[in-house]
Amino acid sequence: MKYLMAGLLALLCGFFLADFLFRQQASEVKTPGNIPFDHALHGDSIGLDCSHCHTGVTYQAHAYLPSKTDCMDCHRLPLTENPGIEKLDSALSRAEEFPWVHKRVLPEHVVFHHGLHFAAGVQCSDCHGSTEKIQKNRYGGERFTMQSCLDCHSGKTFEGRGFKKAAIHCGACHR
Amino acid sequence: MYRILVYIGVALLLLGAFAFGVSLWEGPTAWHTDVRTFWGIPISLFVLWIGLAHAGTLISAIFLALGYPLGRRTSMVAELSTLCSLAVAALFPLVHLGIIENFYMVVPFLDARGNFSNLRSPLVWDFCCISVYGLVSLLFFATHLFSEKFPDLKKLIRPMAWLLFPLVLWVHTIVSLDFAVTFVPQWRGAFFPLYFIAGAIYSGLALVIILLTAEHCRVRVLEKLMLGLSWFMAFFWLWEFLLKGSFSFEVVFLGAVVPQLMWLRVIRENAFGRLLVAFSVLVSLGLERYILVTPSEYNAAEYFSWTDLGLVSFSLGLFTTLFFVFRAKFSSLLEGEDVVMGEIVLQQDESDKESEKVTLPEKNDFSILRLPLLIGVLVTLLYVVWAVSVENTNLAPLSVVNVAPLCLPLLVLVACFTLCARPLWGISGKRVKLVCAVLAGILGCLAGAFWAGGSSDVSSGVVSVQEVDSPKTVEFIWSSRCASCHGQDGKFNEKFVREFYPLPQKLTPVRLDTLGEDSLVKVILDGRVNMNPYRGRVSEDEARGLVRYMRHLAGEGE
Amino acid sequence: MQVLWGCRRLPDLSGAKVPEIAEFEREVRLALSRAKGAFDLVQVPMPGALDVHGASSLNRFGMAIDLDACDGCGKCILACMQENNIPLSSKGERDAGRFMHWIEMHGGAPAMCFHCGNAPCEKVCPTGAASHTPDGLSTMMYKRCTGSRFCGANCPVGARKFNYVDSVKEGLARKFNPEVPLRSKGVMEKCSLCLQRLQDHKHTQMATRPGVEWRGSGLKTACSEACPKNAIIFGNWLDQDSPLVQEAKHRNLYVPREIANLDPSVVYMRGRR
Repeated sequence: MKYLMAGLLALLCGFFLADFLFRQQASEVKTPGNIPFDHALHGDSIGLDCSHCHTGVTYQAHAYLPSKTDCMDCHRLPLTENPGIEKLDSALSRAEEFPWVHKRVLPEHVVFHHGLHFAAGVQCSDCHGSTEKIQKNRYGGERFTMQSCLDCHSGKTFEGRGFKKAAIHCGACHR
Repeated sequence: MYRILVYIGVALLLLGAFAFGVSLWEGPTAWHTDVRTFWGIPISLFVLWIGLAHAGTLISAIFLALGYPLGRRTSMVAELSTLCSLAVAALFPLVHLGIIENFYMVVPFLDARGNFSNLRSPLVWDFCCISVYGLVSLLFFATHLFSEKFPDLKKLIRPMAWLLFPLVLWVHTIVSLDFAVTFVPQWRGAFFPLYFIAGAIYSGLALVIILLTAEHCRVRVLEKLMLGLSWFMAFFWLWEFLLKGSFSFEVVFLGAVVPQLMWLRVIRENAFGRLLVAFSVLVSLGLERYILVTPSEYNAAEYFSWTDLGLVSFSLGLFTTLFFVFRAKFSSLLEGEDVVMGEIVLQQDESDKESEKVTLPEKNDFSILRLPLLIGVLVTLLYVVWAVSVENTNLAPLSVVNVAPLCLPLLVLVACFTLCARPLWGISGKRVKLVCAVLAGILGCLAGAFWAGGSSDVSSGVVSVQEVDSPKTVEFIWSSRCASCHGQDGKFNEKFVREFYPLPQKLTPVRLDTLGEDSLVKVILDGRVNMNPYRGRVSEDEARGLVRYMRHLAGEGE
Repeated sequence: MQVLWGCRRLPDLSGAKVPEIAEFEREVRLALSRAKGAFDLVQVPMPGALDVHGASSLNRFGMAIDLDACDGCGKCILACMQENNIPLSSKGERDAGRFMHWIEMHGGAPAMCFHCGNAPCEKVCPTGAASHTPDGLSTMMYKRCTGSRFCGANCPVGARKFNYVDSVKEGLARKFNPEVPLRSKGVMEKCSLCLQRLQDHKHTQMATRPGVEWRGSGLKTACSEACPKNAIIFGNWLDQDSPLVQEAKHRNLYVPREIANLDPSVVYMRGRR
């Protein structure tokens, strides 16, 4: 009897262990840079929308990251009385033109078009979480997997939102 | 005697091991393929060895099921040869694959990404049928082997034989369908299932006769059956010739003419004579399988490369080694001193070489099959319903017809397991139970790995700087760079501006007209007291477009 | 854990020898000189909507190749190689008569995958890597391919190519087009009707003009763009304004006899009605 139990336990443990080890690795969304940037300060609380800095979101495939010039458009003036602003301003003046270089997080055979999803009515926060918790996306810690894409495309994730049924055939998103 | 055979087996194995290694490393370029020959020797060896495996089951299970009295040792030899043949056969589809580690994608179950294999493909049916066949044969062998020592198992044998019987025929039908459902002209043939089954039984009989000769045994009914089948095969080969015009002299000579030597008493009574005929049959059918699988315009037999021959040698060596190592070593380990291949050896065994102790099959109570079959049917129904309803990323949805080939194997697997798992577990010693537990763990790991499916490499590209090439350039520039202060609609972005920024000027039509287009363009390009210059980021034309857009927004507001 | 399952490193060209463009041109000329025999053509009606559940009623993409205009120059083959990063073949493969080109000349007629509506290759792929889109393309998903080559064996016209060698390691591959992935050893490939162009076009249009139905107007595959005689026309069989339909409705349409019953989307044109 105890061997039977041991066998069953081994089966289950083996399954979950292997799944954990071999599963699709998290596609990291955060990109390193040497300017301290806090999404919470730049979001809805000050009236900014994601597309004001990530300008590609509305019509283009990639969302893009702002260059230093784009940041300086607002930061040319001291924006708050917060003493940290001087540190920020000096960091900004010393930074290179493109402080954030975005490496592709998707494999080469996967196609994702931000503008298409925006036009379909998907909000930035639906996939990336809100600005308060930008690093933690809806699917549990920055994990965009094929299954999470398919769940939304087949209508399971956002049932009440009235999204049009999206394509689930391979040729829609893969090359 | 067995030791010599093991040495021969190991020698063949080593001879072919290099070819096997090269095939795994290089992949499909290692063996002979050409423009229209995508498959080649691994698949023909696969078909050959699966055929040989079937004959083992035929002799033990089918004879048993039909109530034909056959010696226990013959049955055990046949069943062991089935298992060894299957072990050899299972290697070759793996060798054949271009990316071996992706073989798990063939399993007809969902994975973590939502992928489902294509149940329309005969290869998926193949995979399921043969794995089930292997498992059930193993269980059958174990039950039969230990039934002498543990008489409780005796009542399971005949019901299991009846479960195996249709499975055997079905598995080889599926293998033949691998070829028959295609468009390749040489593989056309509605008679293929029958042809394949006949060929399988024919070659298998030859193999078992060879193995029995090594046991100093002789079973006349098998020889008669082999001779009868040679006429059957001769008929098929004639039919193929009439239908497609293809004819291979070596195959027909070795496979239909040479076996007729069995009519001669001098050949028949001599062990070497029988061996010669049996080997001739094996070579003929091996060649026939190769010619079938390589349907090129050229004469395929002329294009054997050394790798092809090496793989043949490897398969023969592996089978011989496995079979005779088990026969020589493990059978006594498993069974004890007084039992040989499941047969309790009595003192006067030596006297009776010609015909062995024949054990009549027990009068079995088939009612023990009722519950296992019921459970099997339920599980199969569940699977069919689930498979047809799975959301497929493929355009064409599945119908029940596509899942049907999997029903019988699944039914047999579940029924067999339900039937004999408990009794076998009951007679197992501690060591076997421990091994089973470890195997369960490994199985769980494998299943988890297949489920997870691994991770793809992220592409090495870098997303470059944004180029403004959107068709709605002006609107786009406004919403990305201007809207944060001036507002999407041209009024202020109230929330942002009031708190953090000095108020920009209100952009009313009157004010815009007063300033004039040129000066506004200059403001955009060269900046102003609280606005950065945009020269270099927008062109002059774009700046002009923006000014007009501003006017349009201001006009809308009025 | 980068051990076994699915974690094959994507072909990465850093460190590998990259062949010159001239070598590609040379190989195309060699392939032309070894051209295969012509197909046996039968006449077919104009392709209509796909007869499959879930097929689009708006789009069915295909091509028509004008045999009266084609002179077998082979520019389409070179353009296809550059658009889709098709590798060169090794000497052994060339001697065996195997090239990796997705377009091949059959007696002066360029032939590629015909994107059959009732594709025999898709039926037999065990993993589901060969599948059909609702728009009528027969696609090949390289990551899902396990290299069983059943699809290649079952294509009646031999349109599928198998990567018998690792083209990157052997210095045979060049990444002309960053939009198209390089294929690893052991996968099948074939004409994709420039799926990457279709995808980009469709996504851009649906992002910038969301209300408008996408019909693929203005799209051209690499081969149709490159043909100096305009002998290859790409378009949408279900769009009356598509140049494909405009031209094909005046012409006789033919396909190879072997696939006439399989509802191909790519046809040949000859003569006038």
